[in-house]
Amino acid sequence: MKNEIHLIGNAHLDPTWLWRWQEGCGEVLQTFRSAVDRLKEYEDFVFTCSSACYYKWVEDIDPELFEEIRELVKAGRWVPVNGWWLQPDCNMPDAESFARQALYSQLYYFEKFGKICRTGYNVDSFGHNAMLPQLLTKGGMRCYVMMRPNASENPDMPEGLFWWDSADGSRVLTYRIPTGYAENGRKALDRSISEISAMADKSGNGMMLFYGVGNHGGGPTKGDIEYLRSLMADGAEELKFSSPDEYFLKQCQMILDIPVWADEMQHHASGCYSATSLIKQLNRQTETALINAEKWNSVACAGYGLKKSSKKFKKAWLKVCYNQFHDILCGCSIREAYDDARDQMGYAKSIAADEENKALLRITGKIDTWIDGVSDTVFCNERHHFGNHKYPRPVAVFNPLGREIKTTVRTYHPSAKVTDSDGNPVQFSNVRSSRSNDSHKDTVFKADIPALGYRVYNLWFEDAPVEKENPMSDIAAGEYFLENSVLKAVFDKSTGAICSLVTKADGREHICGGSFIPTVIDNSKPDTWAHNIFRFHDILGTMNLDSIEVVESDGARGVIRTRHTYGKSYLSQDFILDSDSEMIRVKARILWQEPLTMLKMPVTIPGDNPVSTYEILGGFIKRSCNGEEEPALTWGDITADDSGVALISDAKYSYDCPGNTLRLTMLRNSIFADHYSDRPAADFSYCDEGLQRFEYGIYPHSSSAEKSKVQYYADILNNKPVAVPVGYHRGTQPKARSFISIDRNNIRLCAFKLCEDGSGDYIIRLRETAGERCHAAIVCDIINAGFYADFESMEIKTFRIDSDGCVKETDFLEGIIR
Amino acid sequence: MNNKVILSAHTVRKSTFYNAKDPAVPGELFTVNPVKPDLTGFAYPLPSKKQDYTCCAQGGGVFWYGASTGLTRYEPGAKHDFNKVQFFSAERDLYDNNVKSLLADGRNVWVLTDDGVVYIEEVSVTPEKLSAILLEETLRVVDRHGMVSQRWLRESRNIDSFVHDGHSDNDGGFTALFNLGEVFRYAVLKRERGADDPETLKAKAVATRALEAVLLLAHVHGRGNGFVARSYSVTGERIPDDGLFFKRNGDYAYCIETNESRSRGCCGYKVGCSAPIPERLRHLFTDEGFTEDDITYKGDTSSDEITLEFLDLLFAHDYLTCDDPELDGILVDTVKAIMNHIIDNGFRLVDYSGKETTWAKWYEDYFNSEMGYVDGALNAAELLFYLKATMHITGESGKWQETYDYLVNEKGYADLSEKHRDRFYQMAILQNFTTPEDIMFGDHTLASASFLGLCILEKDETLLQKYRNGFESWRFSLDREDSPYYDFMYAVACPDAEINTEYAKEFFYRTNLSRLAAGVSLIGRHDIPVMDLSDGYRQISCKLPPDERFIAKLDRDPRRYVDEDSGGTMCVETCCTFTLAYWFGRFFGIIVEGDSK
Repeated sequence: MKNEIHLIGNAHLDPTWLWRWQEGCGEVLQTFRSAVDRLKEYEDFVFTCSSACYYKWVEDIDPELFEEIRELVKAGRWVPVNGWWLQPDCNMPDAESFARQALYSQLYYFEKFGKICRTGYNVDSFGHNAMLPQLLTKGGMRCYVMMRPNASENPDMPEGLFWWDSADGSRVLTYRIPTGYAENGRKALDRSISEISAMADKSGNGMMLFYGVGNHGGGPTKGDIEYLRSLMADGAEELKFSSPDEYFLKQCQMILDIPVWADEMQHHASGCYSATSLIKQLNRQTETALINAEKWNSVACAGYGLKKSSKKFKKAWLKVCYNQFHDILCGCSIREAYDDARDQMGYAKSIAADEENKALLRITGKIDTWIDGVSDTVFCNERHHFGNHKYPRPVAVFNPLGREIKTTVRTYHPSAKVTDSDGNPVQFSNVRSSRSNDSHKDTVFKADIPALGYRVYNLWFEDAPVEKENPMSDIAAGEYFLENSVLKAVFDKSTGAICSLVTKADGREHICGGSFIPTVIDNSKPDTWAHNIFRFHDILGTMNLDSIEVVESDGARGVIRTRHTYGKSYLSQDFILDSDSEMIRVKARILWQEPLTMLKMPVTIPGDNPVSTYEILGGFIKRSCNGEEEPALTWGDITADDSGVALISDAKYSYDCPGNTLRLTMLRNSIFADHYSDRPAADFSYCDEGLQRFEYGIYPHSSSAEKSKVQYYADILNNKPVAVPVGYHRGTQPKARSFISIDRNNIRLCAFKLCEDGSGDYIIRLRETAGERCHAAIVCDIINAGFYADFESMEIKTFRIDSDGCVKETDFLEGIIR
Repeated sequence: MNNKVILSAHTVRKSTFYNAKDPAVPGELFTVNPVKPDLTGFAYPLPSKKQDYTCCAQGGGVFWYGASTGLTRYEPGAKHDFNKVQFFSAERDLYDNNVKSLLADGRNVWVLTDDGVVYIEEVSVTPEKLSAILLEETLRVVDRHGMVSQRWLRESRNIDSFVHDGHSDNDGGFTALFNLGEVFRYAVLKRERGADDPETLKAKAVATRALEAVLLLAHVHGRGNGFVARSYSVTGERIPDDGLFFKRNGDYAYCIETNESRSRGCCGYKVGCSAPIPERLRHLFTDEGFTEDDITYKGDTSSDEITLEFLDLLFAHDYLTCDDPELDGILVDTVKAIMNHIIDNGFRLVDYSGKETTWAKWYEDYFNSEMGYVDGALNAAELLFYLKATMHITGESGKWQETYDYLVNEKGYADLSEKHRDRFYQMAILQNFTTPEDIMFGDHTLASASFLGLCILEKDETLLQKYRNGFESWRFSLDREDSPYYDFMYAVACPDAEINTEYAKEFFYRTNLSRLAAGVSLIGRHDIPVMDLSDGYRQISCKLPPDERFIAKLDRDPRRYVDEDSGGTMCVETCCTFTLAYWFGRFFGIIVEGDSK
């Protein structure tokens, strides 16, 4: 029958939302018990449930119940869906997080149920990134169920069944739920059946109807099941208890003529990408910390005899996966939930820090840093860095990226001279430190670090008896400008904003007036999600300049500091321009105390027909400059007439772009979990109240965003090199080394890790970033391997390398299961 | 169209095989002390494991690294990235892969392995010259009564030892592709050198012979009903046991005994063959001393032959038989006969018993059947292409236009032609494989042929866009080929499309001097990832230049990891993979010869 209605019994369950995770966990147990009971009572009833996390909770706490579920899964009565840990936000996690959602979850499903999930299932997530078809496919899933945005939020998207394509060429068969995921009660069921029947008749395809008490768990009630059975008994032949898996298979057995959608699926809750800055920053920091720590751990395991830490990384990643749950990462849970999130992300970050530290010290211990003449005496001053004036102190600087970088590096204590691994002097500055004892100075020096590798620099203390030497600087800063060989930025002394930004090579002015004036927006109407509100344009005012000063003006960098105030709040910004850099890095510190407001940082460019481009997970996307609030990862960009400016950040995920202006949303201070509320009087807590520190970058460029170096600068801003002070020792390792390098700048090293099956094989994951099909050479010195790989536009590829250096292309499941 | 591939003179590799005792082999090769190369920090992926390298040599800016698993050539100053690191392996370039000693000779090298000695040299050619070398080999060795597919050898590597039979299941299709390349060669030479230039006349003769062979397949059975045979053999040639064969015997032909005919219960089945074969075509076998009664032809023809032959006939009509009215008359009549056969039999090819053949079905019910569902989009495009081609070739509309309109407007064939990717993914979900696995590589030639023809011939903008969409729906799978032929066809059909000209250049610069199907060693190759597909089949996961991958016609997976079905050193393949791509590119102005002339 072509217009069958597949009845999907389910229990939508938010493990954290208006409750903390402990309550969610308890609700999972109750819901699963109830579903098992229903399945026993009604032999034709089928229950569908997502999220490996829930199964793991039940397995750990109630193994007897879990065994019952395993039997029901075997019988096809209980259908696990969604090969991810839970239903994450689908706009903000990095693609690597989606790889881990799939890896750990599908392995779990396979171990417990003997099969993986073929259907992705995110019925509640608030928007769906354009690269999800690739991420689903590479995680073993070919079909997808989603619901938001609904037809009134985005009427352009197809309803019901359609093909969804991503830019790399992946495709999933997708079902957009037209009614709701938790229909229950006769009235609601009747209405849904009627609506869905009409749609089935119109489309000629089968449809799915999702029923069962949801949000706080529950599932199909006896009343619902019995009512549906009575309809079937009364001749409603089109109704059948089913699962999404069965539905998709059934549709594929028929002649399908359905639309193709090749775009993202937005918007539902546009405020969610800026609400609760804490969780956004924790997510970015923890993802980055784990990805980098895992790379260094893998290097140290492969070449330096360090013990494997895969189990610890898995534990840490699962905390990240959990806290990417849409109601958590989207900042719309209760305040107390963020105490839990902070602790759990802290746990993961702490594992990352431990493992990275172990690995880097293990590696540095093998580098030959010996300097003739240094005493062998352990207690001699010369063996200790602090207070050693006689010899330079070696510092190994590590670059976690898969391409060589040139950037500045900061170390404690001031210097008289800095030399690189070949003994050449490098540019440096002695800059104000964050401490107030001793010299108050740190060293910032220019470093040139091999791809996924290190270089040793030697730093002499400021009062060391050496000739002070600092190569000529291209930095100049004064009242009020900042420039190097590449850029010149001029600041307006009345507003403190950059009013001119010129690239010297082409003499091009990249910005117009009104740029970089911190702007306060009225946020009193939207709830925390900003339901039904997609633009935030009601300007309350701009922040006032309190002060502007030149802080540094020579050596490795120049710095101008501004301080703005608004109401009881302030914003302090250090605009830092490194020697030779094409990006101005801004260290921002905000104390915000303005309820129901937003703060945006705008940049306006000259030119016609502006195009806005954003990094999204696994790629980039171009969107209309229509002023709607848009999710993005590390950068947003506006370009017109082959000239543009990107705003890059290490903690933010939200922008808008009205016309020629791109605005980075710095914060959004809503009431926690304010859900369509009439806000009865209370001492509310606000989700962006208080102090926050983050960095953003200003990168002017020629050409389109994706062909520029925006990803390079975004990667540097988010993955700062690590400086490790090293002792004096003889070693087998050179003073500079690359462990993995790639010959194409548009191929990004996303992960280097040990395979989860314990085989000792290594996994390398790479991603194309410029939207160009290409052939790349990857040299992996550390595991004695090197191979070629072809990439489609924005394609992610995963390779598994055995102990012989032989390479297999696989996917997120690492070739352990298919 | 902005795509231009600028080609100029370049070098190709050539291996000459020696017995170790051959006096031509320098004695120093046996006495040189092997020095293990230091490859620490080597900047490129290496084909062999670093620890497997045992010896090295250098000369003329070229470094040679011998390993127990093959030979690596490194030229840091090579102009093109794809030439910097090259791999040489058994059996294409070496007897075996255990390189024991190397002796540089300028930029060339002597290589000692367990089983013998090979001298590897670089030979300077232009792409046009290479095309001529490959064509000469094909005409000398592969051509069989004008048909061109492949030829078996009696002695390994000895091209001159070819056996006289050499049937292929798709002789008609392969010959059509070969002919197409030669038609374009003739057209280019005529355009550039004039009709009376000796090279042009030679090209015309070659193209004419192959066209006659293609046309003969529509007449050789003597059925007189527009049927097309897959292939034919003559007395003295072996008949393989892989299909339905009919031996002509006076006024009838009978089905000979094969596994297939036994399983279908049609051994001995008789079918009439009284329709005369045009004398102009008949000479292909009578010149060799054979008569009709020496013919055994192959039936159960598929849509492959029909599609490739229509593409060939379309261009042959425009650029070859325009100078040969007699042959053009036969071509036009043949096209009409085939098209009438297909239309009159309900959009199917009908064989000996009045029943449809296994794979030549273009009717709606077939497209909606379990068997034909995935083929629906392709076959719909094929049939529309035949009709457009027939209208163009015959200059008539009438029945052809009515049928075309019926299929487009009443049956939705143009809409269906866009749906290949949809139906392919539908099958992938049902059969639980991961796309783009399970590609039928042979379908690429058919899809490209059909959509190229439709995009060239269709003037209605709406329909044209549908056909361009249809071509686009194959790109996800065509891209797996890294073939300039498909890319060029796409570029001609969709002028706004961009193709990778660097990949094309690599193809033309890295094709061997011979189509001897000697294999290469990919198992254990260190620089190429392998993919395990769900059915257990394995592919390399990235492209390789033609001289480092297996040789095959256009119907095989160019990324296969193990050579399962080519004849190795005992077989020579048709040159058309190269010559068709080259002359097609030249004809349409995509290939521009640089300083090579």
